[in-house]
Amino acid sequence: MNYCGRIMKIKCQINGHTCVLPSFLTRFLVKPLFLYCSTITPNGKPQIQPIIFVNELGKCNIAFLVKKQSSLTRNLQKNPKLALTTDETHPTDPLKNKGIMIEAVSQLNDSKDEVEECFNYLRKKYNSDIVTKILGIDIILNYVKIQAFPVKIVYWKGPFFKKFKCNQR
Amino acid sequence: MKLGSMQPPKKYKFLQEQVFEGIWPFNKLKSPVNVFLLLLLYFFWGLGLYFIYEIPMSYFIAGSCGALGLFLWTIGIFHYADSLRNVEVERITKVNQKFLVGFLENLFHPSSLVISVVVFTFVVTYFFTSQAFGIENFLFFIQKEMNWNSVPPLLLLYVLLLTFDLCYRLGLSFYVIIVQIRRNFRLAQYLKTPILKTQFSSTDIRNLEKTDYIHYLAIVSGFTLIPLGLMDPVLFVMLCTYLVVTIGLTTVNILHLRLLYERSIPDGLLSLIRSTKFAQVGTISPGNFPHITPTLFVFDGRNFFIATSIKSQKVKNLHRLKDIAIFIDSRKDGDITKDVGVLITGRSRIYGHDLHTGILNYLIFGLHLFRIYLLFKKKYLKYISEYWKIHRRLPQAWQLLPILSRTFIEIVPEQFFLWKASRTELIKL
Repeated sequence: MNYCGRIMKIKCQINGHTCVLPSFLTRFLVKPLFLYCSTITPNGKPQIQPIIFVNELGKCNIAFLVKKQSSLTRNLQKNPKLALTTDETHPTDPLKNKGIMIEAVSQLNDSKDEVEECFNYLRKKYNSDIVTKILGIDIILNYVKIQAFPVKIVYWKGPFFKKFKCNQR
Repeated sequence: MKLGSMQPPKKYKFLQEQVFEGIWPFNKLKSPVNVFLLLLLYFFWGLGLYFIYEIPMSYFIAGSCGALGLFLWTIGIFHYADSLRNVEVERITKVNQKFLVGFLENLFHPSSLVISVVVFTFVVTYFFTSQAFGIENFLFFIQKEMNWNSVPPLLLLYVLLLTFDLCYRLGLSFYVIIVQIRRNFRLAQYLKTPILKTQFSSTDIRNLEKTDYIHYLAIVSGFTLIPLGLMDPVLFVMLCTYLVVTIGLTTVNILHLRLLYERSIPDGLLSLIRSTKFAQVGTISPGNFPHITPTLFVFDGRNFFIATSIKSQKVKNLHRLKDIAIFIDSRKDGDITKDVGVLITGRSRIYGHDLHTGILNYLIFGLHLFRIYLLFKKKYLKYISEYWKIHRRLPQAWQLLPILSRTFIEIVPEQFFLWKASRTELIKL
């Protein structure tokens, strides 16, 4: 399992095409502690917020928990599209900057089992203390699980941006 | 919440607004139509005087310019009052309510009339007594020119009424400036105290600044009174002095408020903004997908600036929709629960998205853009020098060529939100 940060093969289905993500992309889905999540508010403005996350076993589906009453939930209920990004920036060498941006469509799930399962995965990836400090208590009652399904992946190295192409049917 | 609704039973209105509400047909019309009616009234009255008494054309033009100045000034003052009443206040606390209501109470206080009455009395005294001191004013000029024994009553009434209307506005604007100066000093006192500082939102200060600009424009419209002033050397000197003093004071006032805006940003956030190298910038792509990428940024104490390629998706998105978000966080490597960040949402301005707009922007805002470049150079000296070494090897879109490939984007903040890893929800500042 890759919740603990081990890099393994991740299979993605993007726009009806299935493919295995190369390792330089996979590590961006596994290694980082935060992903920056951008959503659109009901009045049409972008909003950014870091999230702690897990990616489901062998898939490039990203899951995280958000409070039911939070602005992030409100945004995704109105517009399920979101963008996630993470990067490795270098303070002096622009050629060493690397990163990935995923455009995804989200699904909200408030089933207690799903929320609990995601919470347990988060505890495995981070640890109980950290997750409790970040999410608080009464997770099962107050949170919903968000699953983000990628529709487009863009990555960059230095100033070169590339769109990841999924070629297999 | 709107600033004007803080004390609903009381209407914050200038005397002129109340007069318009009480006199037919002005009370049947809304601003700016009722003000335009006032302009027409003065214009046709002046035209009638021109034909009846065959006064020289220069006097008619001067009177019309006076009426035009009156019209523009009134529009400005009414718009200022209206925008102030409608300023959205982020959150009301006892402290900022006391401050803001105090400001409104002072601004719309009937004592605003005192300066106007003093100015009017001074001008009228000058009209009727200047000859005793050996100074001939324009009323005596016209009397002599037209071989009248005395100024016709209808013309005198026109002159006195126009003079009163103009003096009222000159006095009111001066009063407004005094109230603004007092407001700024009170605000500065509040911002000096750490506990009280938290009660003020920088967005509110920026909104106040926006309304101050409207009053600034009202004063600038006073330049249309110059032809009227040219009729009389003493009045001309008085008018020019007034314009120089008021424009000077208003400029200083706005600069002071801009300084206070920076001071209103919590110290912790300001140091986070200044010390962080990379920010996440969010825009909206076609198809209503959010778009987010990391970028270098600078903050000039007021607005944020990012530098990017004119071919970038950010520029394409912002050319379509100006809404933008920038997220800056501390990215702590150790304990991630101590990570803090700030989200700023606002409007963007691209300084050229292609060759033509790029040249135009560099011609108009060249100095401003050079200042932004210097801010980048100061913050990212090593980064830029590294980039400079390799940029020729990159595709043209990513070379360091101003106008041809690179552009600046200005982010004008509208709202600040605090983010703490230990609290999942954003906190509006």
